[in-house]
Amino acid sequence: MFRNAMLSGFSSVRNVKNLFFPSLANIKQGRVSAVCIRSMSKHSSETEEEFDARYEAYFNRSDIDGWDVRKAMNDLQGMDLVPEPKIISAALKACRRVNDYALAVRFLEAVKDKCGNRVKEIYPYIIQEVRPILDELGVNTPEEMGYDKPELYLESVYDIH
Amino acid sequence: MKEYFLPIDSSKMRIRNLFTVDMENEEELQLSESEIDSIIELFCDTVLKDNFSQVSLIYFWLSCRDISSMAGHLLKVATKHLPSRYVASRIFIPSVAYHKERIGNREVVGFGLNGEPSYIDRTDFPMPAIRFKENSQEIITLREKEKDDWRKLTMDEKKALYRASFCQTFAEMKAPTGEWKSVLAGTLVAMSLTIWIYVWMKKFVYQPMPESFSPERKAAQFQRMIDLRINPIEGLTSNYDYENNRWKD
Repeated sequence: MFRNAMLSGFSSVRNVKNLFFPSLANIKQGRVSAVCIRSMSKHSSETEEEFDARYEAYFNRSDIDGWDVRKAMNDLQGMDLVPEPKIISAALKACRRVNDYALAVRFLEAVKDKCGNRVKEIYPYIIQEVRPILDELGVNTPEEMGYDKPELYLESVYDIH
Repeated sequence: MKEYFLPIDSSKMRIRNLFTVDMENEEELQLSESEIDSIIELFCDTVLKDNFSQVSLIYFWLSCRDISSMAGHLLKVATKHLPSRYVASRIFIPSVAYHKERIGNREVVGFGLNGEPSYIDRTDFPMPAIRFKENSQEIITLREKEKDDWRKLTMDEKKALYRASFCQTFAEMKAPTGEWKSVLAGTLVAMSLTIWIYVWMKKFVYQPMPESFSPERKAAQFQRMIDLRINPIEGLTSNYDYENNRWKD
């Protein structure tokens, strides 16, 4: 999914690595198909490019509505990958088409969350790639809105006695 | 009685007798070719027919609620000539009404976690089914502004739009609660309480130790071990120099 410049592809090690470090697998080994994380149970042999193209085409539908945008975003959130910048750009444009600003910011926050413990490497790259779309649409990143730190406090339901 | 239960006129018969309606009437309704095809397909759907005959009318039409399915399409076509409000008021839908009552004026925007119109903040499911805040007048005016260029929105308006749709930001969801401090404190308090209980037990419950535990008696016992050559090879008295009657260096 998110292909890094360094490809350490030991195919025999790949399966073991996928089991123990699934989130690293997709970043380090660019060849792992995003849809089937474990190669032993192959549900589909879709390549990463096909996956990217599929989601980009989905978001680029001109008649998309908020329901479908949210469905695709939630699906992406459930997958073990960080979406490619082109998918993110298409999603932001879809948010513009459905006139939902909050959705765009929420999606950026969700992408940042997907970066896991390598946020400092991945997230700045994504923002840099997506910056033209952000400027064109007028979407602020969560950091610019001040939402990278907590703003309000909400008591957890587990603490209410 | 007659005032409450209006007589059913024939145009609504379709709701009650779905599978026996005449196909000749289709021309009146101006259905397209594909719609007629789909109706014919649905009439052949024996599962749907069984459902229709077994469950009560309400639950049959409820199961057709999902508009994207073929059954939902049938619902749309069958009630085409009825205004949708009329249909909704005639068909009392229990679970949807309950949910709509609970969420009030909030807009349903997605499928959500499980199909119910509920709101929840989860990092692994960022877009819930409903907006967080009810549609008040300010929010409606903001939505109109949202349709325009987003660069014209001020930061406060952008924040207001976010908070209208969502309760907590990701940062707030993931913020540490500091619960570990109270957990650690509770654990240490429990441990110290245990030690106090032991002190009390020693003072008031346990009997005095036997005299053989006094230092003089223990020294005598130790000397006895030396005399008996306990563990002379690798252990205790291997470190004792018997020629000079002292411990080896």
